[in-house]
Amino acid sequence: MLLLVTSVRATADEEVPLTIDDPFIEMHTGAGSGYPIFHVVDRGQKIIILKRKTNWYKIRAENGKEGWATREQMQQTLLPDGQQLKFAELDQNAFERRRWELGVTAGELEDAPITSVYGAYGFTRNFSTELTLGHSVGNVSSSLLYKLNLLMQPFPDWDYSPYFTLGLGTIDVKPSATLIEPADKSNEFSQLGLGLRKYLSRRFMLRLEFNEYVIFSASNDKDENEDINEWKLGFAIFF
Amino acid sequence: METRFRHIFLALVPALLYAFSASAYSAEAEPESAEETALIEPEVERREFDEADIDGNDFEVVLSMGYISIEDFGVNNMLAGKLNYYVNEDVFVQLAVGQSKGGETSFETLSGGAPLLTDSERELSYYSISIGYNLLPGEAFVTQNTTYNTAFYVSAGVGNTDFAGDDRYTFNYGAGYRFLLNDFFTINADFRNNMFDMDTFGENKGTNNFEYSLGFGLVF
Repeated sequence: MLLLVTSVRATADEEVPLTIDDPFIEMHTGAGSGYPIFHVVDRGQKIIILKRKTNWYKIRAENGKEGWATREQMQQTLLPDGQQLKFAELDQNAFERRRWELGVTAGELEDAPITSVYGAYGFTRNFSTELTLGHSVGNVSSSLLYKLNLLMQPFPDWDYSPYFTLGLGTIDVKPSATLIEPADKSNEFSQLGLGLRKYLSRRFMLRLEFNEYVIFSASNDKDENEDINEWKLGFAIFF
Repeated sequence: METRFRHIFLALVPALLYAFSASAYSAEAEPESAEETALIEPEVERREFDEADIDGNDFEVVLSMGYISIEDFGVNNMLAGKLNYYVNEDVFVQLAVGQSKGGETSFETLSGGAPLLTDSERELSYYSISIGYNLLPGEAFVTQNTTYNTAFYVSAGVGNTDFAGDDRYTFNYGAGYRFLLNDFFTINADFRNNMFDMDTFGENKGTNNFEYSLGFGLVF
């Protein structure tokens, strides 16, 4: 019995042989359609999958030849039980079910360019929370922006899905070294945003966002808070 | 009576046969490897194909060394780290950080006077977010039987350079050549221009800071 268990475990680590159901599968020398086809494996022959790179799969044929085949051709193979191989599609559905998201954006914060990185965690299909670090570099100052916000996406299944954000954070402003006003300042802010997300491919998505910030910079000698705007375009990968 | 015996006999034979074959089977199962494979064959048939077991290789880290020509501050050694994410066979996204140290301007060298920048202000560090496109996938034939995959790519992006005591918004564009040693290791030769504005010498001027480096990459 022990022997049986160990031998089963040993085979579980092996690759599952797949039988080709297309008339043939083309093997490329590299993971891209630009790399030449150097070998063809016929219908009925068995192959195993060694690894994946983007939408390409490295396979080994029965004769030991190794090469890269497309995802589309891999879907035309049969599992040992005769069922057609179906990859769990990384598609719009996977995108809607995502939990984690990591992204970068570039844009403008009140005439100064801003670059940001963010990480997001989704509680449900509609709600997620995001942590953003932004770096805005202008002619007279550069600012670091730390932001925590809540994002609401009312129609997650739309192709171009709109969303709203509400956030809080702090902005640290450092004046340029060539200016004679050296005082750094740090202020809290609140933020209201509107954006649009578009699923592109695999784990990749695009997002466009517009934010309005109210910087709580009012003090004894300044009555009004500052209002500033930001727009940005970026992309993200999700898990 | 006879028919009754026959009935019992007929009932017994399959039972005995079954018992016999079962014991023979189990007796042989352990030492005979041929029987063993026969035993686990159904397990093999039922093995689930799990896509998650396929080793995905969409990321690459690159450590690069080379030179950066910092406008007015000479050509200097630089070190950079890059993270590539391959979106598909053509497009990749790159996050990069780099550092170098500016040398002396010609003015400083000739006048022999006070330095224009402090030592810490000469430290240059940058980060960038770029998009790359594998323009020309190809192969390099080292010998008749040794072939390596290669790719010529172009990239462009934005980021920041911290130099001369200030942050400077930076555009970058460049091109590179990736040499795939095998499925895991790559060699990358990169050339790129980092463009940012400098106002250190009074008037604001755009600068071009060319960088060329050789990097060693690990695909995972």
